[in-house]
Amino acid sequence: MKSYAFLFWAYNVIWICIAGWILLTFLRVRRLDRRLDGVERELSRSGRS
Amino acid sequence: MNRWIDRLFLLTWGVSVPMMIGALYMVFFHAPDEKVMGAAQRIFYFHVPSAMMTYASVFVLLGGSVGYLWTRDLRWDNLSRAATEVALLFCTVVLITGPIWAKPAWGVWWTWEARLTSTLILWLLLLACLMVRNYADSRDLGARLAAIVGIVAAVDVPIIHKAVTWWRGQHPEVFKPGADRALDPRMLQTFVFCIITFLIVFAVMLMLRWRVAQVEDRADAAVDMLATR
Repeated sequence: MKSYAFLFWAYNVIWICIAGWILLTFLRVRRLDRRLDGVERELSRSGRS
Repeated sequence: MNRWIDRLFLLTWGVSVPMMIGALYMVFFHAPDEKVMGAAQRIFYFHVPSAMMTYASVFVLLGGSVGYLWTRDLRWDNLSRAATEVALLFCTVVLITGPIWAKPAWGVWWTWEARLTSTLILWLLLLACLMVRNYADSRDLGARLAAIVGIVAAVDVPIIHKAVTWWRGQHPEVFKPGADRALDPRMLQTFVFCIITFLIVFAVMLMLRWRVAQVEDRADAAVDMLATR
């Protein structure tokens, strides 16, 4: 049987890059979501006053 | 709700990373070479689960489209927007991996065979779904048009699935009822493991894209509130 070690490691590198990008994107979205909480609070407070 | 979705996302992401590494290990080291096609057959472990996840995404797209047309609630549209992009991604993987297998197996990269053509039509419909949403004058109009195109795309899925039987194309039938083919157990294990892995990756991507759509909506609402002052 042929050796597929190179393909295995190459796909692993690609997968780890994709997985890392997914996690980073998620963390950025969550941070943005929390900042929007603050913006909405500020808007409703300034709307009341 | 969001906190719950975020926890579920982190859990599925955490599971998907080692599972994909495991799937790659099984594809390249556990599964044996196929007797006729040799190494080229290994693409089957990526191609078929990607096709299955395309179907799953289009199923979610159908749910989101019908839900939106029924209720006019934009949360349904966010779900179909997320499903459309995930479906387009998996369908692109199918259309790339298919020709890579077809070249050594059939001698050509592409042929206008029923399953290939109907899959390309699905890819174009998904692209159309994204385009009508983005180019429409208003969010509601875009959502409505995208929902209609989404339903048309969903109609294409059973056609793709049955294309080989109805038009007797060249494409191999992966799950033929009553077929007397003894699949090597290591091939079957690898195949099932890949399907589970792709299902988890599909869930991760769908949740991420849905969260992005949700945050976009909140940002738009905040901008609208500021503009009306």
